[in-house]
Amino acid sequence: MKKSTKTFKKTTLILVLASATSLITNSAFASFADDKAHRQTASSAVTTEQIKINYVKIAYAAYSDSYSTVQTLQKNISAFLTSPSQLTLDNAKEAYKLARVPYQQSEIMRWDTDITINSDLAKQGGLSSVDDWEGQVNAWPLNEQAIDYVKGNQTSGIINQKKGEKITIDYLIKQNGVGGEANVTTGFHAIEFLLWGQDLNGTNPGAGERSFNDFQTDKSGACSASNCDRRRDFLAVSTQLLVNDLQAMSQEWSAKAAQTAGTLANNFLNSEDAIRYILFAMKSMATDELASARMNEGLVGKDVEQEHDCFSDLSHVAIYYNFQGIRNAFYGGYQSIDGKIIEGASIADLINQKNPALFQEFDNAFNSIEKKMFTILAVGEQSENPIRFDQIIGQNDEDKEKKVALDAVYELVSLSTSFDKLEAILSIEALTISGDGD
Amino acid sequence: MIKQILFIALLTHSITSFAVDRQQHLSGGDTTVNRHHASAYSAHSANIKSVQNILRFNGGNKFFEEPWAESVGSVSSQDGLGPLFNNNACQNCHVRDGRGHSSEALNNQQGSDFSTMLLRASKSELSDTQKTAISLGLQANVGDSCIGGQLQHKAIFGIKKEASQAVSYRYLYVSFSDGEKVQLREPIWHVKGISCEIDDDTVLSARVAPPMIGLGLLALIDEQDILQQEDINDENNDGISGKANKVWSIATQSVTLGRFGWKAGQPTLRQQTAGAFLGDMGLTTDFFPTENCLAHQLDCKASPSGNSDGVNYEVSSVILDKVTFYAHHLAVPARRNAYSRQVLNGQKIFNDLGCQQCHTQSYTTGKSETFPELSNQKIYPYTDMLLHDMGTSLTDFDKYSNTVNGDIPVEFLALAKEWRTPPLWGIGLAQTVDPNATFLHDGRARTLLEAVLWHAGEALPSQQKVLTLSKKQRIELLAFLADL
Repeated sequence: MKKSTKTFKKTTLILVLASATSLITNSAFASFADDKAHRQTASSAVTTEQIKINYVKIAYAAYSDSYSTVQTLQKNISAFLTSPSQLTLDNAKEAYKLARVPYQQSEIMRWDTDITINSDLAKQGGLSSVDDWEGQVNAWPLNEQAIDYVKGNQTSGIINQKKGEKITIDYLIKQNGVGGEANVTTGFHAIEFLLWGQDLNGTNPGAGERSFNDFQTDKSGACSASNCDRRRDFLAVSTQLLVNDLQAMSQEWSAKAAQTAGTLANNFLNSEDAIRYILFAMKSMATDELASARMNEGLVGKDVEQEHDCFSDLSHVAIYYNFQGIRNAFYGGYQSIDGKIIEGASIADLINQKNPALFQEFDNAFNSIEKKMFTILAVGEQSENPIRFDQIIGQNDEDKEKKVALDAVYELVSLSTSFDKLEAILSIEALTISGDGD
Repeated sequence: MIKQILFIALLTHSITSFAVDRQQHLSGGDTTVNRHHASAYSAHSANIKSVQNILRFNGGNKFFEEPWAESVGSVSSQDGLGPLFNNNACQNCHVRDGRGHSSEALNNQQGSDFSTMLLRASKSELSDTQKTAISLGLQANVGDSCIGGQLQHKAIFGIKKEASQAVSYRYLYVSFSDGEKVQLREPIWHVKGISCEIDDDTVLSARVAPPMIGLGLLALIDEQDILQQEDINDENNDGISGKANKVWSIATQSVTLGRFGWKAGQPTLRQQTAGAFLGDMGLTTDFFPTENCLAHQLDCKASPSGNSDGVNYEVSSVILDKVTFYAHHLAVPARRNAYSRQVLNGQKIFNDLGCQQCHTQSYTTGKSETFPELSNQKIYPYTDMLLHDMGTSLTDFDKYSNTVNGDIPVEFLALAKEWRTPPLWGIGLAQTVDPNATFLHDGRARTLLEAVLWHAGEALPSQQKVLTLSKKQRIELLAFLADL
């Protein structure tokens, strides 16, 4: 059953999407460091100031793309709610998938507690940190029965509280985490659950299979589950909140924000620890969050839904673009969904001018890991018999895709040693660290 | 040549700083990490290098920081929260692997932030059989008939909560001999059972989440090194009478030295972790396979378990082992200015005051095949791991917040007035890791100075000497503590 992945190209993936929604362009799934030219280092010396300024531009581009792709998601969800059908539901699902591409790349920004904890940014009217903000946007795990019916309980969740409070943005924010932090009522994964439903296929192929009729109006008579109106409200309102949140975050990183006291961009630019924070984020994402929490714990455990996009089975997309976020931070660039390249002074340049051998070590490792992460993306996307991450979880350790995934984990964690060397070279405080909440 | 340099170095050393230990900035020996930001407590032992062990640590970290869902969630390895619980993720109490805090409360008002602390409950009117079992270390205590051994203030949807709790403060002042005053706040607890009354004879014990650093090193301190510091009847007449707790070990099915927890009620980190999973989060493990629902909590007993993933416990033994590995390997940060004149002066004052009589500076850890990175390390934890009488004000209390008789046993051999000397390593970074962190078992002390001033009981003579320190000496003492 194992298909060759040689023929898979990201453009193949895009064409599938393009037919589903015309809002998506051909470069949507490309990533900056795919092009060897972008992995070269600068010939002249770079300063930390230049790296910081470039990093803000990358952050702004990634959050702007996240904002625009969730706006696209919102348009597709509106169309779906106006006229529920398999086609409009599939379009909404494709738009969700596209929105994961820039967002997952932006997640590298999350390890910012060290540079924000004493800044009191929220008191100045903006967001306090990426890490604090993230809980409303991408929280996982998500206890889906806090939202809607599940197998074995047809009446669970806010949606099925017929006489419950009207579903508004304020209400969803208020309910987020009530009775347990996993009772997530907002963000990507809440929307994912509403669009797909529970994945009851175990390690067999197939994601959640919620019917579009779950979103017919109550009075249409076609509602396939109870309380369709509340479900429609939940989907529309949670999507609006996600749009608002990403708008707010992108505003924190604009050129104007960089000049304005109290924003995350301005705080970052003025932080003496900014470079250390970037390295720390790269190391935390690579060795801990991505390799351990998001890949290895699923692969070595026996729990097939121990994957972040467990309803949609899009974890292969999520983890691939998490890795691109690390490469972007290292090589100092980002490829926008409209194809535009943002690039400039990078951590790679800095390492290369201090110690070319260490740059080469990172570069080799990233190239090798990329091949493996791309294989996981490619087998998940191949048109015939795609192998999704939950199927890989179910494989034996000797099976081809499982082995590729475990090798990727090993190589990601092995970057620890390179980061230790980097720390010594740059004479900065140790980067040895665990993740910082999810 | 090398010998010569060494000789000169030794000579210089002995002239400039007699008896100064030049390794002591590495509080955890080779495991020490050079970190002093908000994430200072979150690093793994610096000498862990193998990919397998980093993955074990990171795997433990995942289950330590991510929330657990109530049964029956899609992510079946991570469900089973409750029915009754205090919090849904380890990290939510141990903020960034650090300590918790007690609630803020404005003047004459009650604070209800129990997000990082909890109350234990144990009866004091006991049968002779129960008293004997407790005194032998066979049984921790007998839980309250209404709320059990611990007040879980949260419940999953549809389950009745156990009790309400709040805290207010009365303020008092202590004066140094030079006239400077420090305000202290003493907690007044407001606790009430919801569907039943808490027993009149129940002793309540407030416990803030302790920091997670260095625990695996404490686990490897040789038992004899701890026991030889015991002086239960103060036979050497120094006013200090350290006592080891004797507790029941589930793994060995025997009475063992208690090492962990505010009253040293747990013998190992695995048992401590499993105890917290059950007591604080309502998650069963191989050590504690039964939900802690009381006989009268019928809704709790009827609630579904999170075992549906084919594992017999809500937290599989594999996951428990990972979290235990994680708890062993959270590293202690290095000291920043251990050899500055001010800090060294403060260290000398600390010793002259007699603080080191309980806050024992240093040990060398034993050898462990399971934990090679933690083995044979010279460490500087500043604890004797023993129980001490800390005075009336810090003694546990009843449901009306009245201090109880200090001689009532509340957790194996630990009495209501007794607390295990907490390690001081890393304490100077506590409020860097979390600006909300507070000190002492019940979080009443907002600063290290307040914590020092609350010391009474066996520590009273030392505390009295603190009050006579000059301003300069006080600054030096606090500079030393802040550098740990």
